[in-house]
Amino acid sequence: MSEYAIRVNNLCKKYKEFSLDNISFELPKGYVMGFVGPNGAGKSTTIKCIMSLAGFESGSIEILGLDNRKHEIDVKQKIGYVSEEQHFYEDMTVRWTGNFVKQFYSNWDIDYFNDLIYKYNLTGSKKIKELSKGMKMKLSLALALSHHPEFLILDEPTAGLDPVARSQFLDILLELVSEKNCSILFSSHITEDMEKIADFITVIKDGNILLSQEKDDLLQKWKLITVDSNFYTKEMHLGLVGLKKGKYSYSGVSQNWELWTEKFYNTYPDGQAVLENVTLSEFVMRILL
Amino acid sequence: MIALLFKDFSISKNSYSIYGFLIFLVIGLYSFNGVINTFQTDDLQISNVGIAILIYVLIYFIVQFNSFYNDYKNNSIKFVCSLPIKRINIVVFRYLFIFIIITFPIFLYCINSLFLNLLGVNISAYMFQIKLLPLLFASAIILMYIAIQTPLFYLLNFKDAKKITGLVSSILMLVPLIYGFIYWNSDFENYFMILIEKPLFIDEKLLIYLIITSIILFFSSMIISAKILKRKDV
Repeated sequence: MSEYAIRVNNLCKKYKEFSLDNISFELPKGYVMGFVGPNGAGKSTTIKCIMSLAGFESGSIEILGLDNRKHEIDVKQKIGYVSEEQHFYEDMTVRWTGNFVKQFYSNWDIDYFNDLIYKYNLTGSKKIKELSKGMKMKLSLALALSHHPEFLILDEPTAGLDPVARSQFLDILLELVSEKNCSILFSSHITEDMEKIADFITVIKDGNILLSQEKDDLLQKWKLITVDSNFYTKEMHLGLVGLKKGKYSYSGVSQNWELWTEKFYNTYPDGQAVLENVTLSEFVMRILL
Repeated sequence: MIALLFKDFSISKNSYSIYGFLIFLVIGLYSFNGVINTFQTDDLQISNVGIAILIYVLIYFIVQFNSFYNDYKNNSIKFVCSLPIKRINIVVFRYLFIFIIITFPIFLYCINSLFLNLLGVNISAYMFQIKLLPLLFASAIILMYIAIQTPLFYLLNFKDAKKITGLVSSILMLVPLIYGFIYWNSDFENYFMILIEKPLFIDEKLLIYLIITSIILFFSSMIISAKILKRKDV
């Protein structure tokens, strides 16, 4: 039994104008990973490779201890998948869609599906095309959960949802993690969502993984440094990531903030260089600059 | 896996074209009753080109505009491929669906024969006359045509595949008409009358070869489509 929900090793996928370049990350079982990056960074491509919706040139993907290409069907039996866009048959009903999907899962729980449909205020007789985006997302989640997956893969599930629907969706996920001990890989460019539910953060940009680590570790290791612009010198670039010029100050995040402060902090009068904890949103924004 | 087959039927049921197909099939065959009735003997006569074209066009529409159009409209190949289903099965059941639709008239013929042999009741006499040979001929032609066009729907996007197959179909549909025109050496005024009244004779061996070829092509096409979908990023 593998202790990892997913292990991606040196994944390479090439398109004409974009490629995933030696992507590697891993998520232990029972945790939530936020997969963050700007639009076009490679989040959806990585998830497509994980879901065997797209092939890849080299590397390997192990899900719950199984190679996702060699054991595609077994792997898919154990995972739930929610994509950014819902591609159901629009003319069919919620009930029909449930009945269609259930036939492919060996441990489909019809009672649980019906419970979820009721809980999410979905009407079985309603056609898919009559559902709002938020409702479609809930249906997608109900379908992804009704076979009791061990691992849930969510590709930008909150994109396009209004704040209320987004909040409801995140509450559902939190409930899922606490009650079912399900592992989740959650891709999004909305970092506020990650702040709320993620245990691990993986940041991807231009097809490369910038970092992949525990959220708390990350927020502890990195600090936001702000320096009064009158005192800012070029050598302060050293060790600062995501440098931004404000109206009266320069700021950036640093992993080596202890070294930085040792070198520069003491040279400034009080209050003209500020060292503070960084929020995940701020951190991701900086690192992606 | 049979759910994949029922899925295509359920989805088609919800679109107007399946009703259109069935209505046209019945009305069409009924309207062409006179045409088919011109062939009363069981020798190797085949229906005139008109009936073949009618079935040909209808089946072309049902297959293309139901199965692939629905997939295209809903982008549902992504949804289906994300489920624990082997891609080869997605293709196999799509071909099975096409095969059932195409051989539906032959199925009607078999039902009629069954009633005729067991109960002595000729159902088709009340509505329309069905002859086996025209149906076999038409089905074989359609199977070959679909065998050529279907991999294109897996290889290209729906719109491009539709353009190419639409163009090819238009050309192919003209072939029997032109052939008929030349064969009967008709003038334009009598062309349609001759198309309805004159039977086309076909060699028995040729028909058998045609059927075998169409089946081989159809299965080869299925294998090619399965390979295309297996490698395709959806």
